[in-house]
Amino acid sequence: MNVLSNNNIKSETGINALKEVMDPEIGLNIVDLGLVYELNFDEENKTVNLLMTLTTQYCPMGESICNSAKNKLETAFEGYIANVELVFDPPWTFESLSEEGRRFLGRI
Amino acid sequence: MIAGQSNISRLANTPAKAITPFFAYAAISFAIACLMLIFSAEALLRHYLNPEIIAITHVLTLGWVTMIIFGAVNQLLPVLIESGIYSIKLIFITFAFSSVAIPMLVYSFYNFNMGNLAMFSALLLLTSIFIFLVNIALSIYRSKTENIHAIFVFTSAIWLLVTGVTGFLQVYNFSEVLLSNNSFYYLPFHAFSGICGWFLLLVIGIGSRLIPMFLISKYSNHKLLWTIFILINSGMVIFVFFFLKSFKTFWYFLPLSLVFIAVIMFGYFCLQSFKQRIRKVVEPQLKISLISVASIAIPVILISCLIAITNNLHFELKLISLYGFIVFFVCLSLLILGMTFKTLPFIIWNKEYGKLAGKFQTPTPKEIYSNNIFNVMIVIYCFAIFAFTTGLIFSIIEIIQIAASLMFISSVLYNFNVFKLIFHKAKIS
Repeated sequence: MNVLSNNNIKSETGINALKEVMDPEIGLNIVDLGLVYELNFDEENKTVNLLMTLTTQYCPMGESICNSAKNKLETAFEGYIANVELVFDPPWTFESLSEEGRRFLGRI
Repeated sequence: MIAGQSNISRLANTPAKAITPFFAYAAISFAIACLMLIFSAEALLRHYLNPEIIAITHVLTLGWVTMIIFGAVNQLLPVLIESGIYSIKLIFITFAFSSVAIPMLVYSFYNFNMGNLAMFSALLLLTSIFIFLVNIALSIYRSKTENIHAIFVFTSAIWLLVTGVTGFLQVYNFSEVLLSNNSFYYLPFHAFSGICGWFLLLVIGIGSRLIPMFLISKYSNHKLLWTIFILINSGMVIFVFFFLKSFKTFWYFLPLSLVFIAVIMFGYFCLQSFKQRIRKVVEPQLKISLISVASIAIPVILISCLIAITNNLHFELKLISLYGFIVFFVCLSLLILGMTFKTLPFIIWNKEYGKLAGKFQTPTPKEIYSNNIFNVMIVIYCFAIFAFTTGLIFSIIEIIQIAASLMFISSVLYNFNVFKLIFHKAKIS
């Protein structure tokens, strides 16, 4: 798990907030699943931009996972607007799982 | 990778209101079929060509299995083709036509009156199948993604249309001579294209995508899936050719062998997905589905026995009843009982909590139906399968009636959970 950010201090708060966003099917949070790629902050426009992926394109739960991430970020950073952008390049792979994620899935 | 505006909206799923009617209809049909079985236990021990058995078979094949597949395909196709369904209106039209046609057709079969009502309902049903096929074809065409799973689904829908056209001609052939033989002559053709072309291809097409997805498996083997696809379709085409050219029975071993090899290959695919899974703990819903997939080999073996034994009518009839029972109540129903609770809770959860997630504490999809009732349902159902098989093998009506009653109880529990989900309203804290 290696989330890129232009603001390392704020990103820690953001990542903690995103750790509360669960994939409802797997029951694991999106950070440990390795779905979060980048978390950037635009102080001028008061926006927090999340770049993330899904385990599969058109994942049936994709819309609610993205909405949940947006809601969590806007709660964590009051007065900020959260933008969630999905990318599928690079695609999610099993190697994206964090150690915590592998432990959760019974693989460690 | 550059962050920009939100692009969540392009993920839009098929709306729940277009899918849930299929699940509700199928659940009720399942209960009705089980209830009909209790009162028709005696008919099961007679020749299968009797009105009660034909009526029950169509409640199961159309009302239960096909309706739930219609709903599931419209929900899952976007996952397979990574694009939305072409038309939501066409989904509603498919439901409207088929939901009206099925009871009318079943009523006609039950009274064995192949008059205007039967002919009209057969036409209505055929139209609904055609609309379903068109919607799928346009969705796949629009997605422009070459995908083996979608090709399986599309081809299975073509075989459904073939099954529908044959059924339609069989119904009309009772009133006006359209076919060169009597309607019953075409029954093996109608059944084989429905079971092997529609159900088997669809189960493999969707299963090969969902099973690795739910297991979070690394395994993927498109070459194997293409081989399975070619084997089943070759088997189907050869069967049609042999049937139309009235080949001798033993020739049917050839298409059957091809299908059997394909089934074994799919079993291998599932086994590899299971072995290479990331998620160690397998949920009961998925375990049940995997067991039902493994059971697909049984009816193929039974049909082989049926071809091999040609001089014992009593044994033949018993095998046919057993074959039909295992196809519908073990392979298909068990699969549906498991997979319903891997799909419907998520459809409902998305509808009720999709926008609220992250703002409030929400239940998980698994918490919006009763897992205890699910477990009781499965245990009762497994007892019912065992009892039913025993009753059929030893021709004991009382055991069949007890088994059918257990199945009915199981179907009521299934309905309880399905309607608990359908009527679920958001509860937030």
